[in-house]
Amino acid sequence: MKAKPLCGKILRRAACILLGAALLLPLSGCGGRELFERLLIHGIGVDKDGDGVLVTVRSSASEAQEELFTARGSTVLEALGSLTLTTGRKPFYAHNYLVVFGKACAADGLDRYLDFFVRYYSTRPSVELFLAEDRAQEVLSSEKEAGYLKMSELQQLSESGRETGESVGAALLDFVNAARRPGSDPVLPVVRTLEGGGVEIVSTAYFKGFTLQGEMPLKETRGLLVAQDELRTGEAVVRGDFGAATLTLSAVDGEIAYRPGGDGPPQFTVSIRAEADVSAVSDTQAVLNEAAYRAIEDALEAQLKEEIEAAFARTARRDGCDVFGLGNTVFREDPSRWRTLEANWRETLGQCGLDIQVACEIHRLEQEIFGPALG
Amino acid sequence: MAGTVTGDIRRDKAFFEQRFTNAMDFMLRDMDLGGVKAALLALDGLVSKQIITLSILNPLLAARPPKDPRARLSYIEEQVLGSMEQKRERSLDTLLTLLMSGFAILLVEGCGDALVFGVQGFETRGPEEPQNEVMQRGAKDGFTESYQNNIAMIRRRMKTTALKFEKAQVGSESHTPLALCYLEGVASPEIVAGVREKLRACDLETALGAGYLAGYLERRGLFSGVGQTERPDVVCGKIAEGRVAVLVEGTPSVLLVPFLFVENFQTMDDYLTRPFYAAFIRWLKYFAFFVSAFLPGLYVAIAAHHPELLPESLMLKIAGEEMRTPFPVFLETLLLYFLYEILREAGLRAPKSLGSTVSIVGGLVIGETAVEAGVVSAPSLMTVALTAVAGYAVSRLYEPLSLLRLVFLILGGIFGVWGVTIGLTLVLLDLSATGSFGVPLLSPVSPFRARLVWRDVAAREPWKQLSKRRARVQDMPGVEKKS
Amino acid sequence: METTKHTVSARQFFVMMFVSHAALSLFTGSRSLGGGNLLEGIFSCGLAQLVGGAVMWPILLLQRRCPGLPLPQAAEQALGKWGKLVSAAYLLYLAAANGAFLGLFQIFLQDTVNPEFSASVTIVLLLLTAAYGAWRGIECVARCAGVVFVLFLLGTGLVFCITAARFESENLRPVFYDGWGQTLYGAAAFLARTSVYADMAVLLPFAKGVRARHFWGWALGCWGFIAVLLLLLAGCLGPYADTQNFPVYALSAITEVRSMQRLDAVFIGVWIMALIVRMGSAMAAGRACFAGIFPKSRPGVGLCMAAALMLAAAFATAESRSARMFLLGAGAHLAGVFLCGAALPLAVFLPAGRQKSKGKGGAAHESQTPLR
Repeated sequence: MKAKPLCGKILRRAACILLGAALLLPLSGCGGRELFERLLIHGIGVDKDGDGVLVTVRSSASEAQEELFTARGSTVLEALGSLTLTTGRKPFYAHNYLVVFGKACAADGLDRYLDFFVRYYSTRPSVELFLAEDRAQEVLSSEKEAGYLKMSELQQLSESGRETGESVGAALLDFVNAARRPGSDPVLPVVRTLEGGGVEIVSTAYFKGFTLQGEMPLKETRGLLVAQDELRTGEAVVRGDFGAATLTLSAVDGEIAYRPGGDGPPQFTVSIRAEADVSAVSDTQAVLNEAAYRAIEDALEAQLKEEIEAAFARTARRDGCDVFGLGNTVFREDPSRWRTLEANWRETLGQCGLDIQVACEIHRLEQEIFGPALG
Repeated sequence: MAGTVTGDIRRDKAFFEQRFTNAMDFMLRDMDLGGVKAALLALDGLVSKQIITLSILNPLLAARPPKDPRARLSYIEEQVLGSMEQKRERSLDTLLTLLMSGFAILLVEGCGDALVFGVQGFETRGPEEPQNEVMQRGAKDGFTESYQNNIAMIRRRMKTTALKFEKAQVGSESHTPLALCYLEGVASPEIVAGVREKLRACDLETALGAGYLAGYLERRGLFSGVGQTERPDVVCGKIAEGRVAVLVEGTPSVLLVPFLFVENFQTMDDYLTRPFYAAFIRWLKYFAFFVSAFLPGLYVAIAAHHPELLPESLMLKIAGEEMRTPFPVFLETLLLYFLYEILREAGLRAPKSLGSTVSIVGGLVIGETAVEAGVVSAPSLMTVALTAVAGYAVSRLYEPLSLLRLVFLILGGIFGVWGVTIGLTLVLLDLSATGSFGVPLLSPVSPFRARLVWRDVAAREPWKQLSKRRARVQDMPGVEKKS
Repeated sequence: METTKHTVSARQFFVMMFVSHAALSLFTGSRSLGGGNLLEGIFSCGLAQLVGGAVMWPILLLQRRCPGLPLPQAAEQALGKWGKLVSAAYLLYLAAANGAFLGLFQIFLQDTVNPEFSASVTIVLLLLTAAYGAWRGIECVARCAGVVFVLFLLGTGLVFCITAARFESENLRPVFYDGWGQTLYGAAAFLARTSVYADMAVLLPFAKGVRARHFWGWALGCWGFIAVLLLLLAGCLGPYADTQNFPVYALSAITEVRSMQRLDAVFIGVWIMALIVRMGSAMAAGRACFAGIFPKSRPGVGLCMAAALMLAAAFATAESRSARMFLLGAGAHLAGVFLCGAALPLAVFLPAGRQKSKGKGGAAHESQTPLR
């Protein structure tokens, strides 16, 4: 066997010593910060406070211990950073579920207040955003059952809102994209506190870019969701000769098709196809025959069409907000046309034609299983 | 060099008596064979006195050897004695070694050779199931300390003339005999020659166990390129794949070369159960290996540096526990790790009568009481316990795992998940650079060969497929073919 | 009984090159592509790979002319003393290019991830690990790359599959909306970042059975990976990607599976493994070049020199603005790619061709520039 050269041995030993020293160097800070030495934030509220901001923070030191802090600063980061002075703990944002903005912030333009959440390294792009009916501080300090409302419950609110099909969910990523995409404007769910404790979603705020423009009621929100093919499920109550029928919407498909419209403003066709089941009928003695089913279908179609039209009339025609993303559709499908429309799109939007075609099908389970009803 | 037998019985006897002065086990029986002086030498405890008496002494005492000294030994050898193993030997050094190996030596006046008889009768243990390699379905016999018995166990299972046992010896003081076992025509001649060469170059004074020789057969590295087993069925399976086994006198462990990294996860039971179950168990072991190596390091890394990876409820639980305990999670886990290693070693070395005491002290006192007292946290204790248990699923890798865990723990504590990743890459590089007799240790995973990986790494093919084409170790990807 | 020649198969070699090249995709983003339309980056990448084929052509020609002969020796045979300048040029380029990317990774750690431990010590540890691999030989790095390749694909595949659920066609922009400018700039940017051509030039003699189809397989694989990445960045992140310095990291940050959130730390871990492979192969190449300049030097010295130069370039990139502007500038990198990828191999190939036709040189020696 060849003997290894002495130089190689010396080099190896030198490398080991250097490596050991390199590892020893950071040992003074080894182990990192303990979990309880961090401020584990899972809810942030931002309110306009004069020229600065007031942030409200919800955190937990352990499973049973909920905490509430407020801080002021000229910017969101400065305010959050000052929490270290009051708590002695470094804020940890990675588990932050949601951010609630006060209405004043939205009126001022959310881009000022959002920049921290977009740019800072440890915030999550998937954090849910809400708009408070008044102040975010009220929402975050709301109590329920002799304790603070859990932020996980507030986050659940946006999920459950989607289950009813009457509220939108907006993560930071979605909000920023909707605001920055050509021919598109974002929306946010609006929450308010309840007298007995807790919060509820009351409407949907729509924006022009990052600035709040108005609010639409929950029914019109459903129209928006249906048109954008984002409705997963929900309940609808329709009335007619059959009484009042509660329907559970299942498969709802929405599609917006663009037609150039010649020299005039672009034309759009909103095609909706929905399936539903009859969950309840007010007149329990009524026999649901074919005529009744058709009447229910007509009533549902009319209701959905009305909701879409109302949402469009309010947001687009009245306020020039393109929450339906019609401009984005033109941008993607007809870029050369978009080049001519881009500069004045908000004015043109109100003049666009919107042809809404709704086709609903109610499942006639009794007939499918047992045969058509007699009479 | 002691020289050769002189034929002058007084001188020859004096040589042995002088060598074995103060050795109370040295036996010398003078005889008169029809006027011819002879002497029978043996070491008490190594020989069977009954066989000596019946096969050697009785026939000798009745013999009348011829007057001609040249014909004397031939007469005794061919017409008087009836033992199966007997031969002539002239060299005094060799005679000394044979004497100490349980042979009896007959010196006859006027004869320049001595007769040597294989009459070993030392106590040996019967074949028992190896405690370190317990199998559910495999054979229940294991190797013993006698390499002759071990050779017989292999011979019984492989009835082929291609099965070779080459004799060798190591240890300048111990003269430990060993045997190279391989299948001619299956094993690579280069590998066999390489093993021979390395054993010849072994400069040990004493070789008291197979582990002494392992270091001469492999390159330095974290993972060994030499396997060890106490099971004859495993040896037979391995030599059928072209490997060379080294049987060492005095130890029930047999060395196997070349030994690949994936073999650490293979057991005999894998080949005796249904293929789908064998594949499942194989993957379970891979998972257990990773859990055992990485869990403490990842736990510390995530808790200290990357808590965003934890689900919130778990994070709050750990935070609550950390608040109660005095030590940072890194030190706590390190402490528990060393405590566990001490307990494990104590359990191994403690007398059987104290075994239950060690369990009670370890489990109840240290485990439960320490957590209740708030000295250590339950998540840290659970992590170390899980690590320990997972390590036993891959018992062959226990030694490198013990070191790896510690290294990853330190790296994770200092540099977080990335420190663990860098450590993992370093281990991968070390594995990639190491070979065993020209076969890359990571073969057939890297260099990759899909057929071989599917055959017996990622899954275990049914025997109908396995038996169709033999996969010899020298055919693994990455082995340089000499033209 | 060890192998006497340390070579890797063509497949292993190009897998190593794939991992080396993919390691830099962490830095892909609209800022590096010269525009906001990430979909156009797919065309840019494709164009860059096609041009790369032209860059690679002199290297393959040289290998065919002088099979198995490492570039430093081929240069010395063809150009005499001037051949050492070729080796020096490669050494400096490899150190500068890879050091710059390492420095960029350090900047990424400090600014985007902001760990509590020292990012520069992490870089040192990374480089030392890579040096260990280079020390043990190109086979070691290539085999390790095989395993890292699988882990890398699994890790990125997991992120891709999970984030694909967030894909929205509304985020996509029509391609070539603003003309061809971004596509061409992006192609130049991709080409500038392909310093692996220099690795290939030096290390290709140590690969067995290399054919043009292996190179095109590598080119296609890299393009496919980048294309999927860009598609997901465009569709999942959309305009949000423009707000991020490292949008690939932001993509990993939205990876959530039920209660397992923020898998980006694991993602970065896999990326670190790929970077180690990259630095390892670059250092192996650097060592071979150093041996070409100082043939009598010990292998360890060349490795230490390559590592030291890389580390110096990394720290310069991370700490000095002017060094950063130069070392990360597309212009300097592009010049390096054309010089070390095409011009220098061509400069060696032409005289080597003339010598061969006169009956001298061109064959591999027994004692080649050692890589172990």
